[in-house]
Amino acid sequence: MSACPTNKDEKKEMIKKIGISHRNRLLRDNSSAYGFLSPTILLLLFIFAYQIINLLMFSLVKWQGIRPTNEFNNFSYFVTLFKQGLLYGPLLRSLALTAIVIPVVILLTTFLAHNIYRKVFGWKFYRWIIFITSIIPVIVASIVWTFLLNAYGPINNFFRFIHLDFLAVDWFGNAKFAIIALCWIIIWRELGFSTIIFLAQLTSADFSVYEAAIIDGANEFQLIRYVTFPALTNIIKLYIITMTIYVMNNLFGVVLVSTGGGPGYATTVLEYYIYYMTFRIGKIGIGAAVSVVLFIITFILILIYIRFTSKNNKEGVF
Amino acid sequence: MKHKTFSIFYKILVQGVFIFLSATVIFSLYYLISNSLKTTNEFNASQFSLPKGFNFENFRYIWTKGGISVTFKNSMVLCVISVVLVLILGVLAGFAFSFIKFKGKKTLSYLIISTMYISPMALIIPLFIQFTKLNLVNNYFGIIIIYTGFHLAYSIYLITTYFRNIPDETLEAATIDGCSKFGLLFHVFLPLSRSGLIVLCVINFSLIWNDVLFAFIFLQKSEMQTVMVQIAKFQGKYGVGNMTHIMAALLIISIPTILLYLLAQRFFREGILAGSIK
Repeated sequence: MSACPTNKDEKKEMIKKIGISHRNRLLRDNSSAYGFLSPTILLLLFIFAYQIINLLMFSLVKWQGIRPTNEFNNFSYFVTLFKQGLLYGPLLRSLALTAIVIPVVILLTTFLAHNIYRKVFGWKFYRWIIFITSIIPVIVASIVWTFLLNAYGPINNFFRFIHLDFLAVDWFGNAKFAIIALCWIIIWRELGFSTIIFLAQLTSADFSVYEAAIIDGANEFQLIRYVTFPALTNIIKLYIITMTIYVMNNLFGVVLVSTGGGPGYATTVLEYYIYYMTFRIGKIGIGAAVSVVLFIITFILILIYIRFTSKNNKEGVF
Repeated sequence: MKHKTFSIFYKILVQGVFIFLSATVIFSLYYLISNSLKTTNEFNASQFSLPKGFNFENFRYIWTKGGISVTFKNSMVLCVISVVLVLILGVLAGFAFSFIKFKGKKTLSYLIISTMYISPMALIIPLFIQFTKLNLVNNYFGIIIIYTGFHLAYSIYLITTYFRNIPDETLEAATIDGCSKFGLLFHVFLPLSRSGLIVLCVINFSLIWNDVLFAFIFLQKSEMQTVMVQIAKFQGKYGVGNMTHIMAALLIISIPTILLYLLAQRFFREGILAGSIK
């Protein structure tokens, strides 16, 4: 009891002499820190900062084919975008996708994670099965589901077989159903990862709260509402922000292989619209203007994310 | 009594949801695997039946004549190089963030973390114009730079978390023994966060392996393509006629990531916990 503290004090003294503060073990050293960080900073400046400036510039100059000129375009691309209403369709579709996918994923994931945590019959098997969805490559999942939901594919055949013909719709041929089919692919693929994260969060929570609630006579829905949901609030908030960013920005591959933006423009979301305008039609100026809009939307979401995380960390994100 | 009927109703609901989801997973996997082993005739006869035997003709065809062997190798090379680069830069940056106090740390951390969420599609046009100028389109160097840049933020974040978890006593002991900064990095930080770094590499590998956007835009020569892009294009090209070939191809490209996740599963549970929850 007595030997230990003195030993530690001695250690502290020694560490102070060397220059490491014991409390936060941080070494104060600007030059070596920036030495370690310089490759990262240079790369990120080139890929992000410089290209963001380029993007803003590209949306404001006239274009000749694939070459930007030095002439200012009087915001003509933005004017076209808003006057002809080109932006609203893709923007609305992106928002619709977000509005469908996120609530479903969060509700379903909370339900799944809660029940796996409560060890329902077969929970080990279910956990394993749901995990599988997250390790199948996105493109593979998208293509397989595109086949399965094909007008004459297995699922529709199955519906016809059990005489539920009204359910056998042309999922990718009909504008209304195509976006639902797309949502299903995204949700299906997202469930695995989010369930694991939510489950990890629940596992770190206190199990005795559940026991107390059960003794008080709470049923399972009340448990979800009053115990599981509060335990997950923080992660759900974070998830809503990051999922919104994800659904707005990272679905190019899924859209490309499943619907290709069609039928018509029914699934041409904002992100895919940039690709379509730039690389299919060759209107790079319009593409750049849409990119600026998408960038601004994402930027606002990032600010919300930072505001949210900075409440928890005073030292910065890391 | 009322409570009991409710609890039965709830149990049925839960099992219903789980069984439905499991069925979608199992059925899609069954569809993928069984059809990849069928001949076109068998496939046309029935998409649901079991294949008549283990017929690897589809795999052989897709690997040689389909040209998957080339693009598969391209993908592998790109992924491995990018993952290693991300790891090197990430470890250096993570070391600075977790161990050194410096001016502008907070601002820099926010700037770096926000690059994680910046829309890749929004930056495609400036990147494409820039890379065309620098002759980096259809060039592996160019796409490796992009992959490294886009996966750094997340990696630095995870690596910093791992490094933070190393106990103070270990660092003190090492410093007292006269370890230099690089010595600390190589002899203390790296070995102690080994499982975390393995997880990180697996995640990065699968993210890059799964990427379509950058490979689609920046590698346009067919002999330079990645396997994901080739298959994404495949689908449009052959339509429904060569379904069995596509299924075989899909199975081939799923193998690397699934295998990696299964091999690294042990490390993975710890890693995902450390990364997701602060």
